[in-house]
Amino acid sequence: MRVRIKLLAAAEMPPGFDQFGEREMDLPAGASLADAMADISLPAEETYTSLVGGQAVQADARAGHALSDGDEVTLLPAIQGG
Amino acid sequence: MGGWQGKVLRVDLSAGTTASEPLNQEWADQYLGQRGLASKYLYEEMDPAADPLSPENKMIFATGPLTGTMASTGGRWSVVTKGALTDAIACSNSGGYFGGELKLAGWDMVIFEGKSPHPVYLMIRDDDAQILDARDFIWGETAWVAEDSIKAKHQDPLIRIASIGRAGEARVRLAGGRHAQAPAAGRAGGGAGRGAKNRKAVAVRGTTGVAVHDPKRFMQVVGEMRQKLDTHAARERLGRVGTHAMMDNTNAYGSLPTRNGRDVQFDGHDAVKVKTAHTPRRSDRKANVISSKACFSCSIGCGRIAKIDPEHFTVVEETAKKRYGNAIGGLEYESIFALAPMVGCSDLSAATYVNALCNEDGMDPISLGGSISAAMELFEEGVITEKETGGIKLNFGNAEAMCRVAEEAARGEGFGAEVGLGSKRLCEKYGRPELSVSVKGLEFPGYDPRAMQGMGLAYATSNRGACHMRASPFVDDFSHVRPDGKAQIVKDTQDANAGKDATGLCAFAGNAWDLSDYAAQIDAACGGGWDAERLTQTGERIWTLERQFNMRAGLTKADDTLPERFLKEAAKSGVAKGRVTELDKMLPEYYEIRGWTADGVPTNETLDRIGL
Ligand code: SF4
Repeated sequence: MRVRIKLLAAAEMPPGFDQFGEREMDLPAGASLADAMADISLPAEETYTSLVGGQAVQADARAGHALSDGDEVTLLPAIQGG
Repeated sequence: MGGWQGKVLRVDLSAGTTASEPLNQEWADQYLGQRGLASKYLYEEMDPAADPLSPENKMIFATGPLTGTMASTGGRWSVVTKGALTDAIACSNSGGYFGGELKLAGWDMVIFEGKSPHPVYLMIRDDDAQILDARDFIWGETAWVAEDSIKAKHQDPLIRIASIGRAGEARVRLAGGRHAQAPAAGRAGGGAGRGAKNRKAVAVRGTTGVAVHDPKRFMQVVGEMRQKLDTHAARERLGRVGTHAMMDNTNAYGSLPTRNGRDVQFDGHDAVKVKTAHTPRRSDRKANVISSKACFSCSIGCGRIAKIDPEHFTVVEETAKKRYGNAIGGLEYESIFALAPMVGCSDLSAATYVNALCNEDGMDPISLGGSISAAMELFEEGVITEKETGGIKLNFGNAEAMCRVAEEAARGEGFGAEVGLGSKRLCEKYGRPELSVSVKGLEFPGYDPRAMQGMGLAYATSNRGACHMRASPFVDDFSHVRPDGKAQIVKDTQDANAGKDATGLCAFAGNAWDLSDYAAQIDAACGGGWDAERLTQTGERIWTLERQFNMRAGLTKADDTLPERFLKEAAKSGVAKGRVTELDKMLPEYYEIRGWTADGVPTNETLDRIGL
């Protein structure tokens, strides 16, 4: 299956992402959100919020959240302040 | 005494005198610097019930023990007073170069009292402080002109200046202060307070140094902390895309206050998002953001320098506005949120222009945007018409109308003068107080509390009104939308942030540093056994003292609330679709965790425990 990943508020895009912070990802059927995120090199010292189809999936629920073909995953760094 | 200069400058504007006095070291040990120490002085020295625009109100410029040192981000300073917008204690934390220079001139704090019989400015050169006449000189001028004029008159380009613009002179209540190369120092009406004192500017030139308790350990610790900060992903982001990047998050999450809080996501987001601000436009092949800037001793550099599109109506209309076509201070998250989604405008150049006006004339862009958005909702609801606005069609999304009202507000003229009252007074005047998106009279920053419940509790309980820097529930708020667990997080981070706000270091470094990192630098500079626990206790003491000031000023539990909209109207989209802010669940728990009564009053046991 194929999902679309959007990475927000990034200073520099990790490998595989276009300049708009987007990337298509092919995953085996039944792959979870945690599987998809394991394939993206995000800075380890930061916490990321994950949305699937605009709905929040908490960090401890990612492994149990099966993705479906065509899903849109959005990743937001939980930056502080502004 | 390491970290401190040991001296306070007292300026009696009524008598026209200045005097040096020793720093109260006992208070400095209990409250640290900046927000903490200045709040203590204010609490002890003035009647909290005094009118904020009267001579009885005092205003304190305060540095922290790390201000002016080599510690990374060590240029922070605070303005503490009773706020003209909020009638509550107001502390504005600022950066730039002024605070470092004041400390290097040998002063920990400056206390202004009374009211000058005529407009003046204060000139400080190390030990020498003089009150000088501002009439026929800089009174009536914008802050930009005032700064250039002072430097020229005193023949020193290195003078650092904190000044008000015309808005502060006109007692526009949402006026702040401003100073070169930094965001405006002043939410909550500090600029109007300075205008009411007839004090236009403070200029300072310092040539001393700051002695620290253990120089060798200090150098080692600040070196380690700089390394930790410089290699952190958050520094890279803040340096390259600034705080503006936050809008990607809030829009996707559904926590971006839009059209005065009617919506939580902005359909015009693409036109004003950070990527757009960094993308070259057709007209001059330049992007809105042309470079970044940093405050004293800061290696992050989250500030922006921007250039308005040369074909934009704000810079082509008349020659008077041409100066805005040059490199000017750019947008931060809070200013772009307030001057774009909040007013429904998807015009990056218009937001940049109004932000520059705020800089030049000394207004708080968050409160200005939030007051214009309130006026727009009054207009859309038919409560006010073109008769009241002087012919301006003040609909959401009308960027030209926003610019015109902002220009009038800057001068305290026309309908802009009413907007300059702030949204609370404006909406009360027209019989619709519920349309003011504010707490204690201070307009919301850019986080909708229906999707960010912790931020909702933080706004409601903040001692200075709706503020996003008083607590840091960001990580938890961006992970779930339920109210559980928020009370503890808000209390803990309020205390931690109050501690950080007393150090002289920047809160944004908190993306990379934890509280023990702040404390380690204080301990090396001041000695005395500073650790994270003591800094948290100090923060709780500061928080509770501010609360006591507000109670004596007449504020009660009834002021710990949110506008009706957020408690009754469900979010229309985003992760919190269908939800309201569940303040009724969080607030009693918060009071209990704080050791306050059900009416929000600190108990005697609590006051004893924290040493008040
Ligand atoms: S992080 Fe930004 S606001 Fe803080 S000191 Fe550095 S440049 Fe100034």
